[in-house]
Amino acid sequence: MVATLFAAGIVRQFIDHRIDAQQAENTALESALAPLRRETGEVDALVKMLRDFLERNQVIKVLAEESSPAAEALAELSRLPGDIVLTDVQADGLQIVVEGIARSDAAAKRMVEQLGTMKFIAHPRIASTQAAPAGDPFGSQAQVFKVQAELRH
Amino acid sequence: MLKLLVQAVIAAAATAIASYFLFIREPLESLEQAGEAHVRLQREYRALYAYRVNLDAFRAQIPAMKDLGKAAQTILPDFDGLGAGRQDLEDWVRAAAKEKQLKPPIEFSAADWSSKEFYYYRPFTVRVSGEFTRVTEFLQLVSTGSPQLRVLKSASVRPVEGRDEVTLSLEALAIRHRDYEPAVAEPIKNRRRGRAQ
Repeated sequence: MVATLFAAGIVRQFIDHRIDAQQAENTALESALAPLRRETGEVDALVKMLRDFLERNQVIKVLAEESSPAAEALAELSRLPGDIVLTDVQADGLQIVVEGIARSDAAAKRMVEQLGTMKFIAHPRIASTQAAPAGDPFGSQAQVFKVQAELRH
Repeated sequence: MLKLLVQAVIAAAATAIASYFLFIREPLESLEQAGEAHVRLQREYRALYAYRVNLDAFRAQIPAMKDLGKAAQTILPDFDGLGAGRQDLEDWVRAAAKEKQLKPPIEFSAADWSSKEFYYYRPFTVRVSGEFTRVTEFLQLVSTGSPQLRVLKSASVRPVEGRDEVTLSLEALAIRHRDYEPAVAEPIKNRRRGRAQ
């Protein structure tokens, strides 16, 4: 029992010694840190600014991709030739549906080819086409069409 | 003899356990705490030292960073309250319509702010008529050409009967920045109470 108590005393002394040594090292580190903290205080502000910028930029990028480029697509549609008249344009997200009247079936096909070369409109396809009602200003060859396409940034 | 030996071993073990609890356990915990503090201080020292070494480079970045931050704040401003911004948004849409010489009536409606993880959004709709080119320019100004981030959800353009004009109807979202605040962990005792109810 005495030997055990003696051993415990030695271990205790060793631990106390280690604590003192560790605390002395910590104090030395603290004193070395004090000027460093002062000198680099301005970097904290920069790091905060950078973090805020990156967060905002991420949200901006993601949401800008989700926004429909309908205005740019409409501007492109305004360049279609005069033998095409648009009667309805609906952009929903990255999908667009264009309805109108073409002077002829060939004019409708040329329009789809032209749409395919546009920057903000991709994969145009004729969803439906039928003869325009009698008395249409474009004449008897006029075709009512509906074109579907995708929008891209 | 064996009995004595067993008793001595038990007594020694009991003394060892008692000695651990009386003399060793507490200083051992203190030593562990001092060790953890040391690791933490060392980590901080290394990080700050790296900052100090690159301090000039950091300083040089500050003006550019400020400009970038300012631009990002213009595109995605801070959220300034549930009640804020509706009139500003309407005024801004009407000013854009005026700039593009679109005549009244300009129908505008906006819903309340809602939030997602990193941003707040306010849905709004606009209905306006005018020349096709001006309407297209207005749509561009309200969506992708806006200095602030707007997400255009849908747009519809139809000719106005009897006039050389079109009517534009659009649905869009105004966006505000939201600082990420992780959900506060619910205290366990409250969770238990909730389950009991």
